[in-house]
Amino acid sequence: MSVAELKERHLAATETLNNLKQRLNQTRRSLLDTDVAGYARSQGKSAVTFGPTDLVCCRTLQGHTGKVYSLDWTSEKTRIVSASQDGRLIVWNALTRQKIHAIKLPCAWVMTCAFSPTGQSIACGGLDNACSIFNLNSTTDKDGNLPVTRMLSGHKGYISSCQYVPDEDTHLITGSGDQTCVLWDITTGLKTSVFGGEFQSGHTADVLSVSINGSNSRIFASGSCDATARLWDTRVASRAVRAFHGHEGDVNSVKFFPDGNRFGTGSEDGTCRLFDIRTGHQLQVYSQKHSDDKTHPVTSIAFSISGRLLFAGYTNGDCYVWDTLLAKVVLNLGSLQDSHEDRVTCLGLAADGSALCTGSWDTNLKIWAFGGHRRVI
Amino acid sequence: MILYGVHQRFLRHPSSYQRLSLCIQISLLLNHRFSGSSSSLKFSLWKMQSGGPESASPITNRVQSLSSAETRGKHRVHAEVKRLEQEARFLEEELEQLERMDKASAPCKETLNNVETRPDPLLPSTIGPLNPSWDRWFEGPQESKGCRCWIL
Repeated sequence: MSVAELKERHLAATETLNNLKQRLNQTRRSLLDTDVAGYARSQGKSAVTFGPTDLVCCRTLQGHTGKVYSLDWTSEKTRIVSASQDGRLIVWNALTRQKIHAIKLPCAWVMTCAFSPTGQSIACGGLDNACSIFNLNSTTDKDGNLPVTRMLSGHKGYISSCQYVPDEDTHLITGSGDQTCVLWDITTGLKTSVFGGEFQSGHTADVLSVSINGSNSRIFASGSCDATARLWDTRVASRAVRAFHGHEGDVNSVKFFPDGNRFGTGSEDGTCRLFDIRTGHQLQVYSQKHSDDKTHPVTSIAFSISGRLLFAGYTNGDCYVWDTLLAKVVLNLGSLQDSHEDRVTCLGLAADGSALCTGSWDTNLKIWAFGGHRRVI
Repeated sequence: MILYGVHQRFLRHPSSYQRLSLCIQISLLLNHRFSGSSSSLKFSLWKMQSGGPESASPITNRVQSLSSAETRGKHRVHAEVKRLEQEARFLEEELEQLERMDKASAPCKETLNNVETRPDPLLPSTIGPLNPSWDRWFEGPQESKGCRCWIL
């Protein structure tokens, strides 16, 4: 085929694709008869109301000397691992605020960290394009540093996000600046599957976040600089189950909804969204201008254990608490006493849902819990 | 200082992470003469200087490299066309599925039902059962005996 014929075919394929996308958008719009807030209002639901001392900062974890970029709780609900610009991981006892481990990293440019399901290992990755695994039971070396147990190498770009597959210390999913996600076998250090990339259908820009479905660990979602989120089945690496459009900027954060049938996203466009995985519908947009009458990018999101609350950190230091059903901001952790002094970069909920941990550019982590009077319905 | 400034920039512009990573990798490679692209550059220099049968005049080299560049370009466009056509097939499948899909009200209703049936320690009003351990954050002294050491 000549170059001219190829170019014609390229043009025709592009036009076909654009037409199909338009038709898809129109069909989807026609199926959006309501959103979550509209339905909730029709059922007479009213927004969550917090008293002034209900959600409070009950712990501040101090010790990092650089910006905190990532955090993760253990499944036994007490320990947290955090990653910082200071080139260290710290494992905290969140209750006592004590530092259990301080791990100096071989590559200081860390962007993500995760606890294994048993709490015995930690994974982290960043600009070294590799995911390092540390076993917390290992003997430290002569300098007092914990050695790297396994290095997961193979990505051609930075590691933006990582999460262990639930109930398995042996498998991990990473998201990368090379536009792919990878499922790793930690025992062998080899890739089990690659999602997306040059020869497969997938993201067309850096992957910034991954989240595994807590109800079905074969399903995970990814968010990307291509402004989409994608749903993947680990048994089918050749293509995404579905792509979710709607955001107008990088999707910085994705998190599965507690019921496993929906996931939330937070974006550079300043909005959070809720998507349904079965139908592909965008169920809700969470958008509100801030006190300066501007929109600010969302850095990170987390859901409360029921899904009723959506926590969203923004680049201006706000940390909105959204009522997910009524799509209203019911609290701003950024305006409370003892709040962070700079942008919140990461959020995580304790395994029993009793506390939220936030990490910030101010080098601290904070624990937030409900300290008011609880009413049982 | 340069690295610090670069680092700040990488945090503000996520879409330039990959370029930044490449810059850092290149600077690292410059310090390692026998790895990656450095070794292929040395090999090319060796070939040009060796005078062996594979070496040719600079003009012929340039013509050969243009032709191979054109072939590589055709391959890339062909691969891109294949990718576009495959994406179109996926979208057609999705359109067919949408014809039979529930409206948004169905998953909205499901969302509301699921949210209201789960106890939530962070809500002022929640269904039971309550778990006493939810309040462990407010038991005992909070501020005393905490670890305040700075990691250097």
